[in-house]
Amino acid sequence: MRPWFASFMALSLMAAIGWSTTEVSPITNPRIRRVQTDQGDASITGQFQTSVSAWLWNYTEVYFHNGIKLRRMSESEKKANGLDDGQTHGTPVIPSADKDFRSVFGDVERSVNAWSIAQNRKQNDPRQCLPLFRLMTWLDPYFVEGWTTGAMVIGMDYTPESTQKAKTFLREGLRQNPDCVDIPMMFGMLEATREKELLKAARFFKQAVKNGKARFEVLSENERSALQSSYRWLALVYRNTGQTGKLNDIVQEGMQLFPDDLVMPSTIRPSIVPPKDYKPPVGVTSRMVPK
Amino acid sequence: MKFRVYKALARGVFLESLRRKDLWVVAILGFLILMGASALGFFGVQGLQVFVKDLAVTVLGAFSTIVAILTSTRMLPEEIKQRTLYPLLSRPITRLDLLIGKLVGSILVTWMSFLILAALTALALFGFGVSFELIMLQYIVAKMMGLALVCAFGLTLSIYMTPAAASTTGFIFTFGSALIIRGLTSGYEHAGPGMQFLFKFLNAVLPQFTLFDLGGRAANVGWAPVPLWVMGFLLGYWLLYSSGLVAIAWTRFQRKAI
Amino acid sequence: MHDAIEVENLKVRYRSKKGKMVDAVQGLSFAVSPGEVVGFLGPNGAGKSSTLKALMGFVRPAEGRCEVFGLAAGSLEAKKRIGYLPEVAMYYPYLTPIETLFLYGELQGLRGRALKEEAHRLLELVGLKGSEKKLNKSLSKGMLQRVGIAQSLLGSPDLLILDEVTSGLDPVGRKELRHLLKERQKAGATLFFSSHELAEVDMLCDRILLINNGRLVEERLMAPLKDELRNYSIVFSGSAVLHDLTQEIESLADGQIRARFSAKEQLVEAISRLQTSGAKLLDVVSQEGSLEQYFIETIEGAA
Repeated sequence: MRPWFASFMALSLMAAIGWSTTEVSPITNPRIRRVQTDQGDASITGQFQTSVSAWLWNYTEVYFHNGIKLRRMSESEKKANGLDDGQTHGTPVIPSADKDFRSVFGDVERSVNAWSIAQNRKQNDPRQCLPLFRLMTWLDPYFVEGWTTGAMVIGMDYTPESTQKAKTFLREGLRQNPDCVDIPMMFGMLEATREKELLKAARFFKQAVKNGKARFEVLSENERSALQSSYRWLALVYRNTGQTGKLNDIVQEGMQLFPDDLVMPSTIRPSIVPPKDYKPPVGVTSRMVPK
Repeated sequence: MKFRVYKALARGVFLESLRRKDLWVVAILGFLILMGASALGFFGVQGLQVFVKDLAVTVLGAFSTIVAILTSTRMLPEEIKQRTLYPLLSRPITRLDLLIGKLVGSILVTWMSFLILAALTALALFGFGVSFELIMLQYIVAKMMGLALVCAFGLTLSIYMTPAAASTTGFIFTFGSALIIRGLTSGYEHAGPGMQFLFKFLNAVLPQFTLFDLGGRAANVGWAPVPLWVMGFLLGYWLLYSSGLVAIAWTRFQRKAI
Repeated sequence: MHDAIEVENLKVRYRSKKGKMVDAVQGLSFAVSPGEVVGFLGPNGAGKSSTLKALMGFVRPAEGRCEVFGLAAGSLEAKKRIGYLPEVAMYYPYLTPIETLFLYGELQGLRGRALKEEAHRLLELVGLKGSEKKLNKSLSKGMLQRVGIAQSLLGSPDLLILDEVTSGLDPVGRKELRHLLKERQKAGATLFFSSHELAEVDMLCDRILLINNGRLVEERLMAPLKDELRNYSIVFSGSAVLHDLTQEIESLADGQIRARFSAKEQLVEAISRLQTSGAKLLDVVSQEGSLEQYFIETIEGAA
C-alpha cells in the first residue's frame, strides 16, 4: 500500500494547498504564507511547491506550442536548416518521417501525439497561460522569472488596464523578492515605455542596480543580464531627462562592471546627445511594439 | 470451455481486489483529483481548460499505470507465496490457462480503476466547461489497450524476477518508454552501422507503451481525431505483443517448480 | 486395469537457495491399487511433499515415471480424477468458502446448479454450514483446513491425494474427517495421504509406505504389521518349560510368573504347555504394539 499512500499524500497536499486559499480569481496572488528561511527552503512542502512551479514553467512552453514538445536544435540541425544565427531554435522531439528510422512505429507516434511541422510555427495565445503564472508564482514566490514573464504576458495587449494589472503583479513580486534585479528592471521598463514616467522608472532601475551591485559576484547569468540592462536603461533615462552628470557617472560605473558593453558608451557620445528641447520617442530601444 | 476457466480466474482476482479495497483507494484518488482540479479554479478558470485537461490526462495515465504495474507484478508471486497456486493447479487447467486467466483478471482490475478515475476526471473537466471530443474517446480506448499491454508486461516480469524487481523494471519501462524511444531516434543518426542495427532491433523488441498515449493530442486544442488505421495498428500491436509476452512468461512458468 | 498411482524410480531435484542441487527424492518406486488407502510416512524432509508434488505435476521429475490411472502425472486427464489437499492449505483471504468452492468447481468443470448444490453439500459435510459467507481470512486454521478438504472433494474424484490431512484439526474434526474419508473409500475412491499422526494412519490405512532421505525404507500392509507389533503376556503359577518360546520370563510375588510373547503362535503353544504340565493360568493379556516405536526404530535403522 506504500505507493498508494505516497500518491495519496501528494494529491492531498496539492488539494489542501488549493483549498486553503481565500481569494477567488485574484488579480494578484493571494498572500504568501511561506517565510524564506533556510529551514523553510529545506522543507518537503517547500521543495514540492518549487518543483511544481518549475514543472508549470516548463509546461507553459509546451502549451505555447499547442502540445508539441520541442527540443533545442543541434548545431548541425541549425546549419542544415539555415538557422545558424547564434540563437537557440526549437524542433519537435519526435522527428519527421524523413529523419525517423522507425517506419510505421514513427508514423504511429506522429499520429497519436501532438505533432506537426506546420503546428510548430503556430503559437497559442500566451494570455491563456496567465493562471499558470499566477499558480507558479504562488507556489514558489521566489521564482523571479515567473513574475517577470507573467507580467509581460499580463501586459502584452498594451491597454492601460493590462499595464496596471502587470504592475500590480510585479509589485507583488517585488514585495516577495525585494533584493532581486529582474523585477525592478522590468518595473522600470513598464514605467518608462508604457507610462512614460521616466523619473519613476529611474527609481526602479536604481533599485535594480543597487540590488545587483550588492550581490554582483554571485549573480546568475540572467541577473547579470538584467543588471546590465538596468545600467543601459538608467543611462538612457538620465540622458533623456538631461541629467548629464548622473549619465556620465552611471555609464562609468556600468562600464567598470561590464567593460565589454557597447551600448552604454554610445549613450554619452556627443553626436547622439540630443538638444535640451528635444524629446525623443520613449522606448525606442524596446523591441515591444504597441498594437 | 477455456473461456469459462478464464472467467472464473478473472472473477476471483476481481473480487479479491474489490474486497482488498484497491479500487476504493483509486476512487479516493479520483476524488482528490476532483478536489485538486477545483482548487485550480481559484487562479482563474479562463483559459485554464487546456492546462486542466493536460494535468488530468497526466494524472490519469500515471495512476492507472501504477495500478496496472502493481496489480500485474504481485499477482503470481503472491499466489506462490500464499500457496494458493497449489489448489488452482491441481484442477484440470494448464499453466497457460492460469497465466491467461490471471492476466485477464489484472486487466479487468486495471480497466475498472482507469474507468473510475476517467469518470471522475470527466466530471471535473465538464465542471470547467470542457466539451467532449472524439479524440477523448480515442484517448480512453488507446489507453485501455496500453494498460492491458502494461499488465501483460508486468505479469511476464513477475515470472522472471522478484515482485519488487518486477515492479521497478515495469515502472522504468512504462514511465521511461518515451525517453527510451527518444534516445533511439536521436542517437540513430550519429550511430555507426552496428549500433544502428542494434537501435532497430531494440525499437522492434522493446514495448512501445508511449504509442498508446493520446494525452497530448486530447488535452490540446484543435487536433484532429487519430486515423482509424492507427487505432487498428494499436489494437494489432497490443494483441500481438501481449501474446508474445504471455508466450515468454509461459516458457518459464511451465517449467517452474512450485 | 491401471494402478491408481504408479511411481517408478522417481527422482526429484531442487536447486537450493545457495544454488546447489539437492535430491529430495532419490529413486522412489511404489504403486497404489484402486480403492486402497495408503499412508505415506516419513520424518520431516524425507521427500513426502516432493513426491506428492511430482504426482500432481507441480515439479518435473529429474528422472523416473509418475502415472495416475495410467495417465501421465500432471496431465489434464489425470488431474480430472484427482482431489488434492496441499500441505498448508491457504485460500484466497478475501473470498468466502462458498466462493472458493465455486472457483475451484468451475475450474474442475462443474457448472450452474450442480456446482452450487455440490459446494453447499460439501461445506455442510465438512462442518462449515453457517460459515459459507465469511471471508476466508476470518476463519481459523482448522476451518481453513475444512475448506481445503471440501475443495479436494469437489467433483467426487477417484483419487484423493492429501498432504498432512489432519493438520490444524481438533479431535472432533479428525473423527469427522476419518468418517468422511471412510465413506469415500466405500464409494470406491483411492486415498493416498501423508501424515505425522500415526493414530490416523493406524485407523485409516490398508498399507503404509515409509520413506526416509528420499528413499523407500519399508512398505507394509497394516493388518500383518499390527499383528507383528502386538505382544502377549500370561501370568501363571506352577511350572512349565517356556524358555524355548521366550526369554522374557519374570517372577512375581506369591510365586506367580509372567511370560511375554511377541507372536500369537508362541502364546497358543505356551497355553498348551501350561495345560499339559498342570500349571494354573491366571491371566492372558493382548497388547497393541506402538506404531510410533516401529516408525522410530525403522527410520533409525535405515539411517
